[in-house]
Amino acid sequence: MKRIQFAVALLAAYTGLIHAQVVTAPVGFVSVTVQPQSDVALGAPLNRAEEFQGVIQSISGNTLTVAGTPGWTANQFVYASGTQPKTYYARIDSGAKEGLIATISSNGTGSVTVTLPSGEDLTNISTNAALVSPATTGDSISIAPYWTPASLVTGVVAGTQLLVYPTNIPGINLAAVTYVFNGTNWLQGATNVNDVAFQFGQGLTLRNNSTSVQTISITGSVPMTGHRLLIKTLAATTRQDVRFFYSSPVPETIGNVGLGFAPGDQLLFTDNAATGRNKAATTLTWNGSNWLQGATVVTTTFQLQPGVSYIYRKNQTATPTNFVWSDLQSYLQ
Amino acid sequence: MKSKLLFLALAAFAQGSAFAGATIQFAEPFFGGIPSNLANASGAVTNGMKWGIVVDTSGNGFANSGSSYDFYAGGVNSAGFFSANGGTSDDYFIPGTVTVDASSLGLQEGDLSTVPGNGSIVDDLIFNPAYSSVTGLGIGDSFALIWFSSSTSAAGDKYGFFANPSFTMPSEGNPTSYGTPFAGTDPVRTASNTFQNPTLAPEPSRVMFLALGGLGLLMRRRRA
Repeated sequence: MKRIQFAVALLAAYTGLIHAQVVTAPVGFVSVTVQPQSDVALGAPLNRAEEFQGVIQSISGNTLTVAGTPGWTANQFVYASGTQPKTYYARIDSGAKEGLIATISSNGTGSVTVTLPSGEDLTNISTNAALVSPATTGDSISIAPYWTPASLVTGVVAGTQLLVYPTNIPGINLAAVTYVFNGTNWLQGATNVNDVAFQFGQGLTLRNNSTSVQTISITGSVPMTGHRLLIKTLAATTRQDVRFFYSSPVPETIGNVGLGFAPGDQLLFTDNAATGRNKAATTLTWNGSNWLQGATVVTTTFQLQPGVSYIYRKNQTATPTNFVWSDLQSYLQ
Repeated sequence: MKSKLLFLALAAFAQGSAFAGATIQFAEPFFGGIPSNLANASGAVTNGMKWGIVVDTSGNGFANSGSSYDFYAGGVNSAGFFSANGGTSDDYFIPGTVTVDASSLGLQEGDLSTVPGNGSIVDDLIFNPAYSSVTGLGIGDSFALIWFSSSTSAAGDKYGFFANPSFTMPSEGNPTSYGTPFAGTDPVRTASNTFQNPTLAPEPSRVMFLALGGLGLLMRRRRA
């Protein structure tokens, strides 16, 4: 049985809109119970703590300059093996591109240069220097580290595995690479992968190989910005599996999250409460108006659960196509 | 050292343990085919008929080519081995759901012009025990689609049986589609096979023994 508990442990005021450099979003935790010798489809319903929140002063190319004087040191947000284990992203927290995530490739004392996901751009973002109507100030921006194996899954026994699915290979039923916890480190083969960054919204499988129940607790910041994820087809006339989770620490009804782009799209899920590995999945199908589980309409009854990941099986498109899934969580409305 | 040994032991244990479950999708809405026009014993395309699959677990073909199984006491909602010719076969039945009207659900096939109607299968067949829990069941085993005219499996009841070379058991954990044979408008497929009652139809050898016995009694009477 898998149980999820959510608690907002610290209800600090969210004041990340004006120039603040140290801002605290509400902190919570979600605990996930994994049965012996079983898999759970795992998602991170909380973010790692933001390390900067402020306002965008200007944008030039892929470089965003923040308002004020944050006092960063050059490349403090850039991963450096052995000395700086975090891989950082910048997130747009307001405006038309709310929820957009981009990896920081370098930074100066008051600016970050980002690598955008294919299909995303920095247009229509309001800055103090160039307002986009109706904004009266620049859009908000946050900087935070991605989850990694070592930061996301802690307190597990040796032999526990993380199955990580490719995000750049066309097709369905994609084979995963396996990370194994040896009691100290996460390994892929002989390679230490403690610091490998998981993409934002990326779903994983956690495999408990022991004969005992394991419970992991994920502690982090409650998402206070809209959920935004690119769902892509990577090859022409080829269905595409995308392992994802919905960025929310509370359940959300599937009919309320804006999911479903074209008839034939499917959502696959497994029962995290059931025992076993490689469990059979159940399929929901989008018919253009409703989500169906077999012959039953589940649009208003099926809920995306926090801490759980799903497979979005995007129906084929004539050419590779990006679909922006942008939604404001119910607790933020 | 201790933790290393524990790790190795766990890894070894993991490799030897069973995996579980597979999802078989006959319907591929807006992508491929959807099975439809499944009919009862009278040839009437019907909703509400129970369906499932029969797996040839030994690879020796379906008993009697799937045309005349013995009645199945387990019923159409229970998995189990079918019998044929009075003995247990290696053909394993896994129940699914019921046939429905796909058009009422707004479903089309991948060509976006074929709209399947009554007698359609839209539910997945989810098989959650590990294959290893069923004797002989494994990846690559052939299976056939079966549907029950009256949703019963007593002697004399009718069932339909449809096999296709593409119907082989998938690897566990992977939802796998089998809609290709159903692309386009399907012909009406009638439930024309009959569950047998082997106790009412003795084998030829039994009949011969009975005849010889009777003849023996007759001759003994005449001598007396």
